[in-house]
Amino acid sequence: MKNQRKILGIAILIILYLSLADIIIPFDPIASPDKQNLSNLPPLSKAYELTIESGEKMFVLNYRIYNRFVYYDQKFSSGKIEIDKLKKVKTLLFVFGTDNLGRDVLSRTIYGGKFSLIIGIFSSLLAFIIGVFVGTISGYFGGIIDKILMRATDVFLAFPKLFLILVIIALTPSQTILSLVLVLSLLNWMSIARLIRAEFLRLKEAEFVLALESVGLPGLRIALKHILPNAIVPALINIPLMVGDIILTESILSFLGFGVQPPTPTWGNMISEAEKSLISTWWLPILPGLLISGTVLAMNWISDITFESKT
Amino acid sequence: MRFNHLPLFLLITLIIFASCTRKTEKNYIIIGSTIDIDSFNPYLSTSLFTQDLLDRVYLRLAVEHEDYKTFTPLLAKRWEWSKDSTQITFYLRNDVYWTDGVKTTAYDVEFSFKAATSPDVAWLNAEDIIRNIEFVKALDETTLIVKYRYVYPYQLTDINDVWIVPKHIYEKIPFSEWRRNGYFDEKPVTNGPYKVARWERGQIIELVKNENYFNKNYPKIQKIFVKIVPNESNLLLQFLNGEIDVLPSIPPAVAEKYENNPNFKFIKYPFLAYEYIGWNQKNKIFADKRVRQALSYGINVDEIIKVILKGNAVRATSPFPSIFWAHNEKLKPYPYDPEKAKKLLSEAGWKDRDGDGILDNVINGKKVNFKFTLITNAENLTRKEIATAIQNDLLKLGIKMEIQVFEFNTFMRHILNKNFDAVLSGWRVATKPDLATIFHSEAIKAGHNIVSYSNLYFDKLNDSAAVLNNLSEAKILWDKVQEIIYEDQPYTFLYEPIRISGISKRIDLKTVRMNSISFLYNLPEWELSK
Amino acid sequence: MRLVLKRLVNSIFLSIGIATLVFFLIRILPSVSFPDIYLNPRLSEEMIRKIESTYGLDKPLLIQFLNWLKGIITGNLGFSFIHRKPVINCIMESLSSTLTIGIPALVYSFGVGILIGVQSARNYGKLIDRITSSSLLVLYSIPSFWLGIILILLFSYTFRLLPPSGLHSFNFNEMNFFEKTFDLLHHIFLPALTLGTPPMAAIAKFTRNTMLKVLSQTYIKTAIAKGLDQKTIFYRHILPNALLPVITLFGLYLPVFFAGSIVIEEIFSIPGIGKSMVDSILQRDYPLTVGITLFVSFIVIVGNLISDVLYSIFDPRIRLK
Repeated sequence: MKNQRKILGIAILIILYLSLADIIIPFDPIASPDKQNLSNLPPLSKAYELTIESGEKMFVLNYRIYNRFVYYDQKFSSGKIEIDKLKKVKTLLFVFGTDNLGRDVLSRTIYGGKFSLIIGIFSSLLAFIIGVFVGTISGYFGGIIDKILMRATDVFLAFPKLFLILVIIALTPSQTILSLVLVLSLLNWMSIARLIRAEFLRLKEAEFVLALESVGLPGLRIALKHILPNAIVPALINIPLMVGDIILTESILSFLGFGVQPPTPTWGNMISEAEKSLISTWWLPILPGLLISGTVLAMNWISDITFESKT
Repeated sequence: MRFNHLPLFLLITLIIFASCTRKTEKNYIIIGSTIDIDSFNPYLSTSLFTQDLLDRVYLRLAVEHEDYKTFTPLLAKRWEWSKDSTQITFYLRNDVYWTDGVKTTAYDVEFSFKAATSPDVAWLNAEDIIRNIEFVKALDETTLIVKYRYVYPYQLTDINDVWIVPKHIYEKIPFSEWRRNGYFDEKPVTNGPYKVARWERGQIIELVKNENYFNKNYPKIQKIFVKIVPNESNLLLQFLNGEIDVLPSIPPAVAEKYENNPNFKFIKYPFLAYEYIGWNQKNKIFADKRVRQALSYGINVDEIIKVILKGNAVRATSPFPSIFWAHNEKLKPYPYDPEKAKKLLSEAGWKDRDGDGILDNVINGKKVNFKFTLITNAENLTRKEIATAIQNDLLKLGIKMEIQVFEFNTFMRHILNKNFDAVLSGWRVATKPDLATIFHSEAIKAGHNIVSYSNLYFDKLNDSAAVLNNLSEAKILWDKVQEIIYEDQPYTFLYEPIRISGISKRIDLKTVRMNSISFLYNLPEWELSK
Repeated sequence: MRLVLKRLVNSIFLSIGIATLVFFLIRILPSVSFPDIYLNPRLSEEMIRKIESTYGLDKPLLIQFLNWLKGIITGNLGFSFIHRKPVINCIMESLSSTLTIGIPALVYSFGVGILIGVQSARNYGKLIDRITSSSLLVLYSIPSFWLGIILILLFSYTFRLLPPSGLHSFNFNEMNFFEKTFDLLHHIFLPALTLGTPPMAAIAKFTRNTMLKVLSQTYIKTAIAKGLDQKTIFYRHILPNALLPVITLFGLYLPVFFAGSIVIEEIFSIPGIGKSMVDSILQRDYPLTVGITLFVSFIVIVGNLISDVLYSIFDPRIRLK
């Protein structure tokens, strides 16, 4: 009961995150208000938005008021304006810094997490469904069908993933989040299928199934109503693990040009792009990496407590 | 518990032993590179880096200068033109030997020409040479005649492009087998200031001083190591940590950050290349000249240069870079002028009629929104950032642009099949001016006219300029050609990159010359700091 | 034993099957096959065909396939386009780099993993166990890609202690034995740590769980009740029984250490199998891609086989099928 509450808590947290992500971001994650002056600011940098009489906005890194003038510093220049012309000053804080295009890393991470989580969760659910489907058929029918399906599973397991992705890119005319989810689930259903099949084979010999058979229930009904629900349970543990895995795989896809296209961020493509500019901006990969780790940790934790409550 | 200390003890012993290193000779430098060379057979090399390096181990007839017009003698002591200028006689040095002791002679050059033009070798640059040079013949060991089919300005450039390889080694393998044979890479026989001592693929190349090099004053540095580190951040880190002495290209953001570090210097020099956006005219939207001009007005290139490239680029105005002699310096870059862009667009019929914020127009009786996809290659972070900046700019005009990145091979296929709306890419410019390959209407079907630009007046002018022997007359025609391109804007010319190379303080900066031909241009003359 | 042999033969066929699939699928990829073709717009059709014929690409696909199959039987995997060397040599070179990282990582992950797992189980319920358990969970959750970046940032960028890439220094050949060993250790430390840490955490967790299972078994309780020496109980009864299942993990992790990791080889610039695979695909070096696929899929399948076999040895209830 307590564990279920914990799982529910995490689920609610994720749903809250997904629905609030667009609202809680402090800055525009796609376009910077001022590319020039906000570019590559390190973590905890401050900047000021000065609104001038004409309604024009100005982004400065520093300013001071002296003798009826406002003196300001920008990245490449400095200047002054009359104090009467200054309408409003807003302080901007970039907790995790900004990137080369002057975009706030925190906002991008929060915004991008939405895509990462959606991709991770939906792909693993789809992979789970494919796995259960294949595993059930294989386990129920057995014999030659089982053999063929299991060899196919082996083929998918041993097939170079990167290559498969490239083939799929070549075959699909346009890439959307949907095609990404499809690809990622195609790469991840195999272990589920094996697990379900193994459970099926075990349960087929179980006493309660034998009893049901002796009562004369049709085989298919037993399989779907009695074996399958029991077989699915241990496989469920794998879903959380898969979510984390898939969020990471997405980062590898982005360097092949597959998946979420720029300028839309995801945790994965943020890290893989940050890796390329590590020397000039070391702070870019920190937050997305922490959040991926956090997500995977939460997922692993769920699978841990479900596992422990089972044994 | 005693066991637990054993590994620690071993480690400490190891460190002690390791720290008693013998003093290795310090007269070396390490060059860093993200890519390995293709081969030590120059006819099989495709990458610029390979050519940079091979130019230090193989001698050419002459040294090409930065102006791409003048040459100084190298393997050839001198040369003279025949009266009708269709033939050049080269007099070769008598004191150049291959590293296996055999003398380098005119017969090697003759053989090399045969290899260069053989369809079996299928050398990358063979085309021009086959078309322009009739034959190359060695009269004796040191005299060589080159016969041209006609008189044209780049006769020396063409023959000097031919790599000179050792006949007695290379003739052992038939031309048709070259591409499949690793023989040339086992023990490369060369004649330049450096020779190849070691090549561990994907890891390290070691060049050592050629003791038999004809000029006993050079090279100054005994050993050159080329360290291959595919990951760019990794490579940079090693440069910053002092493990690498020379780095051919450094990202602008890094150069900006470490500008004042005393441990290394950054050398900036122009590069014969430019970045552009090609507007595919097969797409009805871009068929109108005014639309293309409007797009050029609507993209804030200056901001891109300032923010993304940290100022390390020159605005491009034409397909000839500004350091190139044929460049038309009267052309001024399209200024960032959104108002003018909007005006041009509405003249062309693009207005926001339905009020959704996106411009629309009626083309062939159908309502079309101004939406398109820009493609670029996934490996290039700078291009991805530029695409993002352009997307912002165009959105302000009411144009919706999507970005799609591809892995390089897929990207090239899309370009060559003309399967795109707009492309963000770059060209390296040949040292001989000719725009036929990218803008001639005949290059639409077979060639690199990827945007399907067609202007018969341009075709005519370009063709007559390319064969003009008098370079100052040709310049006048080239200026006109560039004006046409400037007006038509088949591309929006973005910028000419400035290359930033880094060298450590171990190397004497005064002795180093880097330029658009090569970052190792005068490598044999480099010296270590005292 | 016969069954194992049969499955081994099966797995060879299966990996050839996978390689066949790759052989045909790779032709679907959009490709400009040779850099010459996009670098030189004026390359004539005739020349392109000439180039293709030198690589045997002009023949019908089926003939090419039969040639390749014939090659496999004689142990010839073909000729790499980009390296101009037999594919088998390329694989061997990459494999040696992969193993240089893989073997230390394997030793580390199993050694440290088992050690931590055992210690944790012995202190079951105590604070130390809870701390290690939760930190294992954290370690297990860190993506190795990111871990690698962070380690480079820390050790190479900030503290400048360890080199971020490569397997040895440029002057490795001139070193004596001790220097060489030290140089190698110096270089492989970060990549091996990155590669081995997630498996290490998994192995530790698994070890702890099997230990606890064994500890709760009746015969152990009997042994304790009989008053046997603590040490004897631990080394003679608990440890062997707990570690046997752990060994089965070996097969499962075989591909992780021996088939090369694309991500780790990418960030640490190691010219191993994973890197070689990516390069060959991106540069459309067909024979090399197919060759590496053959190798990697074989390792994956054999890894599965090994874990099945080990499992059936240790758990007689499960028979190989």
